[in-house]
Amino acid sequence: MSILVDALTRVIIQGITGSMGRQFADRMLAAGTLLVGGVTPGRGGEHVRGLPVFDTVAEARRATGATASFVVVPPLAVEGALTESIGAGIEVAVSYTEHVPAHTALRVVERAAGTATRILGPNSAGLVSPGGANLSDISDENIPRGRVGVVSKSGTLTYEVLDALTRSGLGASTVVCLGGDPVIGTDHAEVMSLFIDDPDTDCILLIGEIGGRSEIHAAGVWQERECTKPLVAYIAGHAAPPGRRMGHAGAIVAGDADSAAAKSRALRELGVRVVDLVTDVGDAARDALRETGA
Amino acid sequence: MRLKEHQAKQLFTAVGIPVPRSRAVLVGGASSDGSLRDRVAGLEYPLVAKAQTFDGGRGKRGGIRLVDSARSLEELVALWATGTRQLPAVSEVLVEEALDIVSEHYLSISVDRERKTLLVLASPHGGVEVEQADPASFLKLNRASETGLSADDLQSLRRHLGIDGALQEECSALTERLWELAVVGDCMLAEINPMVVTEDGRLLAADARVVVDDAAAVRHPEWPVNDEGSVFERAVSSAGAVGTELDGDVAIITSGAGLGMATLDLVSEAGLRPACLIDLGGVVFKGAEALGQVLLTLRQLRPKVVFINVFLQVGPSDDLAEAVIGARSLLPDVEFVLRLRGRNEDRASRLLAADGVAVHRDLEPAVRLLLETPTKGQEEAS
Repeated sequence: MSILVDALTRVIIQGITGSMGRQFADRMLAAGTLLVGGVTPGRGGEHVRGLPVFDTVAEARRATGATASFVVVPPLAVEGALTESIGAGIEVAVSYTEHVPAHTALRVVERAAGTATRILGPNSAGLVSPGGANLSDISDENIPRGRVGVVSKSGTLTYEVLDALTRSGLGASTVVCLGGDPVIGTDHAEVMSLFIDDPDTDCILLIGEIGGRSEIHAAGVWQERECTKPLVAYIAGHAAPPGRRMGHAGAIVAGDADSAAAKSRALRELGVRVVDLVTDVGDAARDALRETGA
Repeated sequence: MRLKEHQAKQLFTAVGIPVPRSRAVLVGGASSDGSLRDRVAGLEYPLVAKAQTFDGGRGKRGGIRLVDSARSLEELVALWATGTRQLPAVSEVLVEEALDIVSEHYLSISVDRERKTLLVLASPHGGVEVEQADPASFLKLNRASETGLSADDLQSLRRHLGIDGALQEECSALTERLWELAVVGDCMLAEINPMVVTEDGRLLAADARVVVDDAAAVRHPEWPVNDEGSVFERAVSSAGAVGTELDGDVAIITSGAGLGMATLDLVSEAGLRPACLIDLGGVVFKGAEALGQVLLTLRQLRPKVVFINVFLQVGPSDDLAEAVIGARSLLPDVEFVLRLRGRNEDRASRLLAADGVAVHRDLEPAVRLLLETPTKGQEEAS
């Protein structure tokens, strides 16, 4: 098992007729993800890799029973695409596209509130339940299967975290990338709750970065629910100079409270096992699992 | 992207937010004495000259001055063109009518990333000391961007700001226009500090601070192009990547922002001082030549070592190997250490090894290679 998606999840790609969409279709099919079709307005009736293309998400959902969508459309088309996914009752929409305006994200997140749709991103590297479904840009051979739940903002940092897990002999139950933008649909805390309830996750890896308070809220949920699964965290950006934007639009130390050091300290106070280097996360998770006997 | 005051005030004017009568003046070669006088013609002395910096606090650094004649304005502009001890040189000056101010207030709208709404902040006390003000003195309203501000919201804001009498309606109109600017204008922050009431009964945005969302630039041809970065950072940007200049001697290049911050942590923890951080972003997919252009920006920084940490999933790693080999002859005193993952990894490693470049596929051994790399500075130290 896993969270959010598994081998039985029916997946569509919004933007499947574009070059990126086709690449992701190839990778999903090769990895055994249950990709059932795609959507490109005005291209209904065509086929990509033998899969049907629909004009709207609603049609695609009716015809295929899809509940998850990987959205890879141009930045200014993201608002329309995600609004459609919400309207059609898609349960998980991964918004992969970079450079989506923050006000677009605000509107889409507002529309998703109180609906059945959970949005990851914008600017999410994706969502993978290894061996089940891969709605991400991470290659399957780089994702070991296991019992550690990984939630992170950055995609590239997640590659490194998975590499560290592999070297420590561990693997992931599900990997969730939230996206590096300032306004995103799903925060660490919501994914934390899902991992706490997932019987196939024994340890949770919380990967964050400078800026915002999302990781602290997530650790708060873990503490309040008296979760016995060990929680290991790494906050990137200890060496980042204050006030400078560090690549991600959301990564900027604005005040004393959102530096990597301050966030790491706050996490430790909540009982989280915090490491200061990304290369240490695998061993920290392994040690935590040994100590708790899981 | 941060806007200068006069740029922000142009956006204010476009949505109908009242600002003082003013003219923006270019400093330096473009404006001779005559044209400076022409530019401010129609404004009556005394005037206020405001240096157009990106940072706040310029008032305390002598960047806002009252001038009583064309001659003193010209002298001041000449001084600011070269900069003072406290104030770096500026390229633009905003010349404004001097206001007789009755009261100063604070009003801003920003994107609240935690609550995922817009946040309206209002205070009856505006001006330079607002950052030290008691947080309890601010009225905070979180409102969905599609819902907007209700009549009740506008009334609460007006009351909290302490604007009454004849200016009530103008205050509400101004607040609604600021909201419109924030939403339609893709602002991360639209701030009026101070918003002033004048002796002659006007409500004005005396100062303006706007931060626009770079991701929305494609739908805003009206925005200026401000390049705040250093010469090096602008060069990296022209090459299609994102650079942050630091003050050490190890240049760090990574594929992705999150990996970049983590690599910066590793290098700093190892006791080395980063010279810069470059996130290659999409350039990793654009071939050896494009990657070479990014590497060549390092000529300006003259780092001792370049540490490249690239972890690709489907992208080709051998393009980068070729780019590094090509750049080495143009960066003769620089050592390269690479951590490389991606498609065609074996070919990349062979190429680099044949050229004598240290490379590893795992991060920790690569950092050890970096520590073992002899540099001029380390030889002197040992």
